[in-house]
Amino acid sequence: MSFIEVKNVTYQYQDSSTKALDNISLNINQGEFVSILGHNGCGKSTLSRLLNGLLIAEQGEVIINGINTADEESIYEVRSNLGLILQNPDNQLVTTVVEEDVAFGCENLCLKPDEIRKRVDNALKAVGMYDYRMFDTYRLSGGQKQKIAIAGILAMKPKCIVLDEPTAMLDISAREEIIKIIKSLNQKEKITIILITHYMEEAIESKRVIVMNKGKIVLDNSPDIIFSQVELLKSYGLDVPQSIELIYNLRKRGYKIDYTLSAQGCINNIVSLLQGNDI
Amino acid sequence: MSNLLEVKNLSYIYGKNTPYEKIALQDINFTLEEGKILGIVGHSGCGKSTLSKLLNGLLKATNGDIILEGINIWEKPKNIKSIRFKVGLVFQYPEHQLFADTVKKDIEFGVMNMGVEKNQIDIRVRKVCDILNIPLSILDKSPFSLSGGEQKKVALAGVMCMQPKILILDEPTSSLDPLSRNNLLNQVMAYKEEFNASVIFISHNMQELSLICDNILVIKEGKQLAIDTPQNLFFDDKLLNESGLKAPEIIYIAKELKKLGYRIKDDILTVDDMCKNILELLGGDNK
Repeated sequence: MSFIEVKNVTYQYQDSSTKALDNISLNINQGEFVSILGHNGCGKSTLSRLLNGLLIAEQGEVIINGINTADEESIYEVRSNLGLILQNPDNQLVTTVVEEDVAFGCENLCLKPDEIRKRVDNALKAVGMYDYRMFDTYRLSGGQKQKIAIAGILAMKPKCIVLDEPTAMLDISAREEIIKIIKSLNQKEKITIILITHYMEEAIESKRVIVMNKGKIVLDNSPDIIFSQVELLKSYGLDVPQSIELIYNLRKRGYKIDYTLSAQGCINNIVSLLQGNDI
Repeated sequence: MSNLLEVKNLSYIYGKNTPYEKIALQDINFTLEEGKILGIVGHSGCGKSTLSKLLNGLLKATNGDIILEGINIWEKPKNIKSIRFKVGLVFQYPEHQLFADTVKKDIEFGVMNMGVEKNQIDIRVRKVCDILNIPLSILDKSPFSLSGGEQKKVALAGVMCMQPKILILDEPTSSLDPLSRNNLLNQVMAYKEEFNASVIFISHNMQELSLICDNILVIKEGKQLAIDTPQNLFFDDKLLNESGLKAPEIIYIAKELKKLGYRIKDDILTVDDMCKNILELLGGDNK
């Protein structure tokens, strides 16, 4: 049994004439790091809200760790297993002091005070914000606020974190820090990560990439296979990193050069191409 | 060519003479010619947004001058409203700027305050809808019923409708998907061509800045580190280090190949430039 099981799910918003999700099925195992790509309005965010039971599927089932999200009695168990981080950190911070905010979720789980203290401290250390525990939340930068939001979810010890474009509002250095934190949570704490993003260079960091288009899953594979399908990705309104676009252009002209996911790999492959040509 | 905008020794201090006094900008100097695009980069909190507010008179500089079409914008403080018509500012979350009950009323609001005649307003609204590819069928809808991307466009339309000589966009492409981002860049270029306007483009995305900007201003902790062409900036490793910025991937690849001794040109900005260069090294396009 997979940790996340999405079975034939269809969802349509009340005021909309089209289906936001159209008969989607998906399994994600405990410990995976999955990215979800797709143009605005393709259903990515709807899927994330179905996963933690903010929305309930009209048709089909969403089962998290064996629990159906449609089961109202155990919805809190679903949400403590699977935390959701949104794009705008201002929308998810609820108190004025950093450590109170991180403790908020735990308090709602009715944990004992000393257990909460321990979890809050550990969560703040995991995101590198322990020194800021007594700060006012509204005086933090966007990247710092996003780290606090992640700490708040971490303190609830979820098995899975879903992040819906967590870096869209951040500058480059903050973006890199958040991705580093996400990767270490996946590798060290074995937390399942589902990262919804528009940044292809972030998706490359994951082990599995899912591409959505018009409410359907159209691609589901490892990043190296996904990003070698340049024309297909462009037809879904997506882009590829410049290094891959360069290799694509060279291959189109008949040159033998392999796809690679890193800039360094691209440089190496170009060098072998140029050297091969000398002989 | 004459300078449309001149910024001289501009400084701004928040909360001056209070315990929260903070220098947001210090000694900023640049000029902007008609029809040119200036990019502004720097980390969050470096003063980029403060600068944009100073430029259209929402804030008044602590020191220094802003000269628009040869006139200091604060020469007659009562005329500051007319400056705001000439320098159009689109905030970082333009959807927060929406307020009217229909899309049309929202787009018209700014231009109505300029005292433009009714039939002229209709022409202008249709013009910007055309540039931004806003379907006329949504003009009577509530802006709040639209998707985030459409809301951004409506807010941008409202500013473009005033036909400002300088259009300032504060991180307009954050949270847009790649296709919408490219569309928006093309639409901004179309506006610039149509009205011979200048654009100030604040962004964290080096790739898009490298593609559209004539010059880029780099700010670090309120101070001006450099103002130069994208080529000069992104090929300058010392400056990149100092500013904490990263060149677009393709320029990084170009520089690394050059270090390995390959003949790589100094003005590579796009994937196509790089591809052409490699094809030349490979000895032609006819393999």
